[in-house]
Amino acid sequence: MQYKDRPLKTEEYNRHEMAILFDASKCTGCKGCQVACKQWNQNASPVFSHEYTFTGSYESPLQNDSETFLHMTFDEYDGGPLGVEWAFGREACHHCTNAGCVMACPTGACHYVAGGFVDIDPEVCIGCHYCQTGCPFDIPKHSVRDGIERKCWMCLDRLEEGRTPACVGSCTSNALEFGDREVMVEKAQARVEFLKDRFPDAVAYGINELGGLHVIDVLPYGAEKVGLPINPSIPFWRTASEFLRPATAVGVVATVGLLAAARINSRHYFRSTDALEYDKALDETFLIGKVNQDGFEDMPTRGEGEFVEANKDEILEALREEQAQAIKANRNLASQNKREGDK
Amino acid sequence: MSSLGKIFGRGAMTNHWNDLENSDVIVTCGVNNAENHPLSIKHIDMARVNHGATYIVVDPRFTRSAAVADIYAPLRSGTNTVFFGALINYVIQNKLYQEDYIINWTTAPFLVNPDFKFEDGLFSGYDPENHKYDKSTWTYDFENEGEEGPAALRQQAAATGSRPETATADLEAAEQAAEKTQQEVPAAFKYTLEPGVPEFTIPVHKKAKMDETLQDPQCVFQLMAKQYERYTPEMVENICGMPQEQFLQIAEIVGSTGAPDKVATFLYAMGLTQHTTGSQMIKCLAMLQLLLGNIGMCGGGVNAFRGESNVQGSTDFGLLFDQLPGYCTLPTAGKQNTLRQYLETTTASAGYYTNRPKFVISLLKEMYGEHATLENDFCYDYLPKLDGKDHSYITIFEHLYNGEEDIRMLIAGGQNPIVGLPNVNMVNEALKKLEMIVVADLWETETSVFWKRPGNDPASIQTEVFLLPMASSYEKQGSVTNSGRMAQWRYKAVEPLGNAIDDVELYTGLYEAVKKAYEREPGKFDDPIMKLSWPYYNGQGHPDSRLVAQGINGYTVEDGKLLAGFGSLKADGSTACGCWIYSGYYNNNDAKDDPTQQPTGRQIAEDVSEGGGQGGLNQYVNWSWVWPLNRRIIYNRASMDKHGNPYNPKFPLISWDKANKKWLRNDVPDFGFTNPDGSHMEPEKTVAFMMNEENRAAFFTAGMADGVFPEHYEPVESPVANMLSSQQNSPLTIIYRDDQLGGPDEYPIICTTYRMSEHWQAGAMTRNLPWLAECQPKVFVEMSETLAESLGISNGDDVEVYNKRGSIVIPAMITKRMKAYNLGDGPHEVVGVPWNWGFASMCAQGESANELTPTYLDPSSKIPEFKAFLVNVRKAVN
Repeated sequence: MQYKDRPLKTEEYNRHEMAILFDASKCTGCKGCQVACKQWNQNASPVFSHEYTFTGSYESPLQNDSETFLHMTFDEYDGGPLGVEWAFGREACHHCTNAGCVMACPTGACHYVAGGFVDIDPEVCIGCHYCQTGCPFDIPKHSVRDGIERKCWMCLDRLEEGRTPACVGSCTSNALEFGDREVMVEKAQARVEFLKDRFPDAVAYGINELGGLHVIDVLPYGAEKVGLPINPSIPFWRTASEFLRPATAVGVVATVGLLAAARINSRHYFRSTDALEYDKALDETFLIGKVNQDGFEDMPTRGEGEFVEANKDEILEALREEQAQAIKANRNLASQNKREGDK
Repeated sequence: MSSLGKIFGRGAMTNHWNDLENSDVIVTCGVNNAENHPLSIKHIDMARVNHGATYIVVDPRFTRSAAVADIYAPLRSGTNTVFFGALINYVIQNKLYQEDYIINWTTAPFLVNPDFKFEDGLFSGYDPENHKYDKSTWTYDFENEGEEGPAALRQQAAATGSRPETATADLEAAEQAAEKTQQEVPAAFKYTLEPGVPEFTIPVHKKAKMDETLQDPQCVFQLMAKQYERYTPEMVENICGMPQEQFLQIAEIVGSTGAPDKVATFLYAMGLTQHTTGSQMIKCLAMLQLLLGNIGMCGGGVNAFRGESNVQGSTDFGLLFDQLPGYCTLPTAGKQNTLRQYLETTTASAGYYTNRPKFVISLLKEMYGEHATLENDFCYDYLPKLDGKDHSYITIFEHLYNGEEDIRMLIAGGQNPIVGLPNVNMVNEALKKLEMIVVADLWETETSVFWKRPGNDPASIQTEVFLLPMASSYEKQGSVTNSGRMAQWRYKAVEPLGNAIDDVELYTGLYEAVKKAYEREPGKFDDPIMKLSWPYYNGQGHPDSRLVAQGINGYTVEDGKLLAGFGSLKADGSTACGCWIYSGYYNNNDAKDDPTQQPTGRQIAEDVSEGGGQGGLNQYVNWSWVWPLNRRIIYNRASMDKHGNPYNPKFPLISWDKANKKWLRNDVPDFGFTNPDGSHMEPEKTVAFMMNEENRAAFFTAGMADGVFPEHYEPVESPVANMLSSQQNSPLTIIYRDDQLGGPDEYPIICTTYRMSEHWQAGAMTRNLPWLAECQPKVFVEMSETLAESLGISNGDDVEVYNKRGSIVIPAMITKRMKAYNLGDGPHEVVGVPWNWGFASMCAQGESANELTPTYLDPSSKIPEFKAFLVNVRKAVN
């Protein structure tokens, strides 16, 4: 599938660039957006009290990770019109026009989506971390549990239903808005104009950076005070992989060809391998039996063994039922415990 | 609530959430609304965006509310009276008060008893031996007693008020009777002559002398001016730690709202109530707002933000120990042994509380049904009687701890005393003395596993503990009343898990069980339980909130027909009503089973007119229902002058259309506005504060325990002497555990406690849910950089915060947002500890800040001084 500018169902996003406007001058740092993001994505948090340590400030957690796509930052400085500058920041994917992660990705899993967003396809991603190294903001994070990279995906499923991203929908202080990027940019610039009297360092971040970001931040205390890089750029060798890809492709074809030849050559040599079936609905992989050169072994068969496919379905059905019962009984525990080894 | 009730007549938020959008100046003083009432910020932002409102935050700490403010000013916790008093002084000295407003709608022109005095921190009548006030000088200077001419009768008839859809027959009869027997019973009390109404002596109304020029030195206005003469900007700086220039900047902005077409609103919550002088602080704020003419106006008011989704509902239904539903008081033995005595002492001589008997008798009729008759005083004898002593929450625990009372069992319904009460080490000891504890909650709270508290030896604790699983708010139906007095119906979305039940089931179950126990073995006096009427069962034998709602709304006993509103209540036992202020909230007789067809369940989102008005003033009169009678902004008569012209033409909430002789309404009038014949009453006959006997807002109140005018006293544990008088603390403060009182020599650091956005109250809800706990998993103490340096502490170091009541070891959060207060005698450091943590819960356990807080109580409200006490801090030894 061609991933560049994957179209969306919602026609508007195929024609217009969209963006989130985050106005930090209205933000109260309540973390409602942070929690809404967790809830919508059904991401996990540590469960037990002893798993947590004191972070030193109101910021918690201190970093994004494979289960935290968004968290708010809290930086303090002396001075400013209120006597103290408490700079709230929003650390999440900026959905860049020229995205370092997309350029770095060797498989094309990390791709642009209509509207200007950047998404990582979990079924194609091989979890190689390249996207993370290509990102000037260090956003994509590796999930040990799933073996892939994860980040804010602009709640594409919500957008397709005509809704806003979860964070925007949850904001109680009018700090978050979602709409046509041109309109968001205009609003940001007007807000900065209004703020400049009291906040001379006020900026709108994301208008031109990296070709234009699809999250525009209005920052009353400037970008550096919330830890954002000024004029972010992507390392040359990352961009180089863009044109290295064809060369890589040639190499891949050659390798695959040799491997195929080796395979054909070795067809007399077989050993049993596990037959695994991934069930998308349950997000679980089941072991159905073993495969050898004649088909499935160690599996109950019907009649002369010819209805192997049907057996597989029956077994899967039974396994699904069992899993559903287990999930019902241990709803949270199942997904929470998967988190071990992740952070 | 105890103070707003005395000054305005009702103790509740005067305006409402959406109305915040109408303000010109919004002052947060005594609440951290961005963190604890996040949606308030949405409305405040609309006010700023739509008409350039100014948002001012005054707080002991630089909170997340301060972060989005236009102005932030520090204020030492416990000194709010100085700040408000200084604003009053500024407004009076600079003549910024709204003169027309205070002359017509308040008691400013009333003359006071010449024997009333105030001197050096004390009011006249103080008995230093018994720590009590003899309030006999706390009265007005009255005219001749008892004269009630026709004009006065008419005014009183107007004051009793016709309500929309009220039985006007009452008033008609009263008017007719007045013509016949003008010198006999005042019109307001004609109803007492009807058959079936118990006999009692009608209180005589005494009119106070007035000086409408406000010059007489003994008039309320001049006494008030004199009271606050000492409250200068210099005092604000020396006592509160707020720099003078900042105070004057704020005073100028606030003072500008004395203009008729500008309005300020003040927001408060625990920051004002959790002090030993809390009731007086709130009253001081209310006085300021009255002076500025900001009460009854769009965008104005004194707005208490309630801290639980339904605590307004709780107080409305009389959950406090000395209350009956609808803010009627429980009778006191000795003074109110009989119904007659009760009616004589609680019925006002003027104002709407002349109708008190109707509320109480209808309540008794709902409680005791057919058993309640005129002959037995409507089962008045079954009401428990107060003994004149304090039996509030903390006092109960004090008695339990001391073994002074025979208290054997605690039922904690959605309450976690071992985390939420002050001095929890004492609470821990008190709980051990109980035979049984029943915790009804969604979670396994600290109280429900108190024997596991670190330091307790379970083997030595004999208490039997039950934990009853309860349904959450989405698993049951009923109304929830928010800060804006709005009682919105909630529906059941899912069945409760496992055996969890709805509260209506629990309390019905308890009632049934007690009843059965008495059936097996009669008690000494079990009639109050056995004769209770409990008509709340649906066809399936389960109690149903909708039936309770009907009982609350009120109905005629004979046919069960729901009443339109409290104007239909009678004192002869023909009506029943569980809570008179809610009458009208569930009154649709055609859809008794369907809350969506009742006022409480309305969801019409258009901002329309109430009748004749143009709408669009953010009142949303057709969304749900507000008590009383859907009046969104109470005291709204005071939004206009004597002739019915709105003070602020941009927000004509209600106005008098002179040509057509009609009231044009965007809100339900909080005054009687129709005549018996259905025509609209002329403005000059109407009253703005009818819940007060004076029919005016009262600056001078005798009803509060500790003073007539708010006067600054220091918190019980304070690092400095009171600079405004030699009376260090409020003389009537209730002090328990004074052996644990710490002075500034040993404990020089001011400590305050508070909640955070990320957590909910005692923490069971948030510390058991990973997504929420992750937002702030660890408790901490916030301190200034200067304090940290002097103690040799780095950010994150464990420190011990301690005083005589307890000691907790928690990490230090060193922050620029905390700064020592620069008081008159130098800098005084302050630390803050959030109290949302406890030793139980799955995801985020932590030490309780309430190990440190004191059991010193406000004499009126009995609320403890959580917000200002003393501690010491040192680096923790490993």
